[in-house]
Amino acid sequence: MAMGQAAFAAVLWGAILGVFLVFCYEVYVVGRDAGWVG
Amino acid sequence: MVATRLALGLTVAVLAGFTGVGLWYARGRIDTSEEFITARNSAREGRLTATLIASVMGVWILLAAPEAGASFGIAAVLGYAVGEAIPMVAYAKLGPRIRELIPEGHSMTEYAHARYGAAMYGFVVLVSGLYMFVFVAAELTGIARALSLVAGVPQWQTATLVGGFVLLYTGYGGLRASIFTDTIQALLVLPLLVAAAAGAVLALGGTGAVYGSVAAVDPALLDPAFAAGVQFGLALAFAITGAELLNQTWWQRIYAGTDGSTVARGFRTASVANGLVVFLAAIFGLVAVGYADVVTDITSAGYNADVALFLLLEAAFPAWVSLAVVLLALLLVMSSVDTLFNALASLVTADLPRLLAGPDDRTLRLGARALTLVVAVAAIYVSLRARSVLRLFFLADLLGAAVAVPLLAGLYSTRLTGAGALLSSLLGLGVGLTFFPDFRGLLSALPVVGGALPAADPLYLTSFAGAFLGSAGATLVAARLSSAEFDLATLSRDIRRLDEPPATDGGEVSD
Repeated sequence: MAMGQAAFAAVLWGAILGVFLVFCYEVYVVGRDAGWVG
Repeated sequence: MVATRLALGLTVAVLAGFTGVGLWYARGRIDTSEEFITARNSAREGRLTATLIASVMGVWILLAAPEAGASFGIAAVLGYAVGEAIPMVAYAKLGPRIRELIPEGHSMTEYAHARYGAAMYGFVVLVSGLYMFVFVAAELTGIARALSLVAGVPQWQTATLVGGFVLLYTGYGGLRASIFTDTIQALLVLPLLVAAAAGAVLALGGTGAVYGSVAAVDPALLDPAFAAGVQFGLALAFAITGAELLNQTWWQRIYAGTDGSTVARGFRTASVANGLVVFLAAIFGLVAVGYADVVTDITSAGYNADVALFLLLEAAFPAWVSLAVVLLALLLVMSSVDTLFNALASLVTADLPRLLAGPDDRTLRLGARALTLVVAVAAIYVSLRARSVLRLFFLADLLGAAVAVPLLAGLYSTRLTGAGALLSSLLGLGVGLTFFPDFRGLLSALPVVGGALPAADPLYLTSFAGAFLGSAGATLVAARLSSAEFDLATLSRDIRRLDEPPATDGGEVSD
């Protein structure tokens, strides 16, 4: 059975948000390694 | 359509910019062949994670991943994402183990030789080399195809430009240049991907409109239990897991990390990142079906699911969005091609001291750079000549799926012998080839067995799962039946830095 519209929206926006959070974490870690953030 | 001159100008600017950065960063840092192929203990967590993301996220995520989504729906999208994540999770465990057992190693092939002997070594060189070479040729084919579709750039120009510029900085700066540029590329690719995906969803009218469009064309694509989608998704998970476990790229980065715990954390973060990125890219193939005339019947002459994302771009977005995707594609292709050029060169360079009987470091550095040049020229040539890189990719995946477990089991099992590992790999390969749908004419022509072959599995699941699980099962049996006892401590004695003399059997190397 096809997934519902709400489930599809959750999956799609969830993936976009997930990649964005990975980007934020990566910026933080690179900054921490460089001594730019504590 | 984007103007050809504009696309070419952007291409040259991006390539020249990153080449300049790579050359600048590597200047004065590459004194030895050891530095060129290993960059030992140099990458902290941020840089290591970035290169683990950028190395594997090539232009294929804009072509092959959406193709799976368009053809087989949400289940295949999930299978693709899981397939990308599993090897990273595995290497989060394997990485520290490899550093512990072989602290001065460089490549999986030197491990294969020290652990299993010459026969398994030869097989691993063939499988790993073929997989990485097909990968890099597919990347050059992919970017050439993408720019041809979006802006009408002749394919030979794109392949030569990308291959040539990347060769310049990887031939000079080796792994260090690759990791440094990977870091910048990852930090550009991730937000660009988020902006492109979010912008596309909003421009198409939101998720409700997207859902309605896809459901109107083919509701099966939105069904997580769609049988063909589940089968193809599982097949991809086995195929990618096997092939990526044989990717020399990861062995280089295991040694490039500052320590074992940094390596484990980097691979864990990359498993989440790579899984999500592939999921997002693949789901846009599914979205494309709702808005463009995507032909997913592979037997049709009009088959175009392999460019589903670009059909969506053409059908629903203005030219500037296409230009942003060109930029994304260039960043993706550079980050994976530089990695693969260096990984392929390192695969052989690490073995040169054994093959050439004590060459000096200048010879090794020259050898590594010459190998990078050979790989680059060959990859550009093949990318311009190859008719179907995808079929070669599946063959390389099958070989990887058959060899991965027998090869890596030797890091833990002391009883598995070289003959046991090789026979397990060949048994897995035999099972996989029995159901493999490509090159069927060649397989059927084999004497004795050709006529007795069962029907091939067009969705590849029996083939890839058979190769992976068959070789894994045979490995367990071979280790159980063996009475041999391999001393894993000898690995660290046999495998030394390139700038140190090799130890003699049982001997010590003085400092």
